[in-house]
Amino acid sequence: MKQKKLLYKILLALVVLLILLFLASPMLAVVGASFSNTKYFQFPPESFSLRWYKEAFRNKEHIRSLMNSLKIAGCTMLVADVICIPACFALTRCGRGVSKKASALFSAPLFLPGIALGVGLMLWLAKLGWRGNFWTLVLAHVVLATPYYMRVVGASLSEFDFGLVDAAHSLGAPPVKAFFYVTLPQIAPGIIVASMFGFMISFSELVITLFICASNMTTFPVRVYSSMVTEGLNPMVLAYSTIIIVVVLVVSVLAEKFAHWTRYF
Amino acid sequence: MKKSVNKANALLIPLTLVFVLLFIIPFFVLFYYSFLTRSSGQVVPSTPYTVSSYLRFFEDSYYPRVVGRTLWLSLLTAGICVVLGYPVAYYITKARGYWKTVLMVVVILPLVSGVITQTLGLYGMLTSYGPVNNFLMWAGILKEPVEFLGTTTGVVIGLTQGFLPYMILTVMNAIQAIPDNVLEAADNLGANGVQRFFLITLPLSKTGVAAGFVLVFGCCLNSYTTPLLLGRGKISVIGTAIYQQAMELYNWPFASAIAMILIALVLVVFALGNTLPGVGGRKKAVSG
Repeated sequence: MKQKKLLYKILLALVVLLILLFLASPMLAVVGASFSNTKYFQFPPESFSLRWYKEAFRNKEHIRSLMNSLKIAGCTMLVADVICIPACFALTRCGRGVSKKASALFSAPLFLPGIALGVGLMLWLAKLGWRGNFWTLVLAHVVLATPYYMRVVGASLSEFDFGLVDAAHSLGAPPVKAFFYVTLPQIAPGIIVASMFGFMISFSELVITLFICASNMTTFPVRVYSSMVTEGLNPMVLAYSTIIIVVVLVVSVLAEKFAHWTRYF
Repeated sequence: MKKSVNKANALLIPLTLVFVLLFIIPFFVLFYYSFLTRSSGQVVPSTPYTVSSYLRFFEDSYYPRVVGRTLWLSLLTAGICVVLGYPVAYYITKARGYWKTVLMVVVILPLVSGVITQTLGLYGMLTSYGPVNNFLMWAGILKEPVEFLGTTTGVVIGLTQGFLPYMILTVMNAIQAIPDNVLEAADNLGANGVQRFFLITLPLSKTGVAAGFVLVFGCCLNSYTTPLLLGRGKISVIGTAIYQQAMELYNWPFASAIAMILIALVLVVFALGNTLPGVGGRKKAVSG
């Protein structure tokens, strides 16, 4: 009986590991193949070389697109912090009717097709003459990040005891001071995780950016996408992707360990 | 009191403005454009208003077939995700400590690193000289390389890899919600592990499976990047048809009409999902 139980356990673990291997295989392939020395995608690599890394750092166009992406993602994060977090506060404070309707609106970008929004945005911004504008792109990314701010900041606010703020007020702290000394330290983890979502969503967004970004503001995903459509896979791109994967891996481990951020996906 | 309520609502104004400008109006613009006429030789469509774009969609069998293919791919992917996702979700809920963190990170990494990185890796894996073909030939399953790219199989593999994390996370929530004392009660009443799983855990988590199914199905309907890149432009789905009409053929009224049809389809899927008991709490994350 006990042996049978152990057998089930081992079998389950084996199946699960195989499925997780499938899930991780594209990333393993990207990282592995980025160190190959061949002109085409080779995994596992037969010989180790940094050839594609050297080439990657010499390629001005890709570096520029990477810089654009970082800039757009950084701005998206900051703008979303400034306008989404106050909105989350407002939602905890206003009436049930408003809060329900507003939450429905602010989580809608999750399930409405991005490609439809992309076409609509393109037509609308072309009419306004704003297509290709840096800040409209940032604000469009803010729209896509908003559902995560609602989820993450909303969750930390629902755990926050607003009685503490009242206590601070009654002890004579002005509202601004109460916010910075009482509220902010308590919800800081939520804000950090939400900001990470904001950055990451903007950094990896492809479909909507494809429709509305200017040709001189090409983001990294758009650049990789267009080169894949026209010329297939270029090993140089793997070098950049490896760096992105490593950064994301480190951030995910920290975020999971300290903030259990997987519950917000 | 009234003053503080007004003040609170004022904090909603900037975000609401952004949403009106860059989310709500674009959908109305889409709706409006879908009824315009495209005159030959001009990119910008104009009046008279017409429903010809919608009629064209159903005119011959091409676009209905695209819809059918999209639904079929989505159904297949969602089904495979249930089969692959359930054991992983079950295993992770039982895991503890660092091991659990490691497993969770592996699950969410595909979501966090972005669809383009994933597609890049899958593309390399599935090429005719890639590791999948090499392995299958080494194992003696294949005599010569098979082309996965540009086929339905390749696209389904890509969609499954991309959306499996949603299924795992959704099912995990459901399994975690089962109270421990229910499982203990089953033990005390003499159920063995297998009985306990099939009679208690599985029935109590089936709403999670249904929710995950709806979620993955909806994501697949909306998908564009994976079918295009792994299908190498040969597998036409609703998303790729919209892009082609909008950005390659510049037929904006028709692109808008297809987009409206896609929105209607997605809304129906999520509405049907919401009628299932216990479904609708979770919605998807990063788009693919």
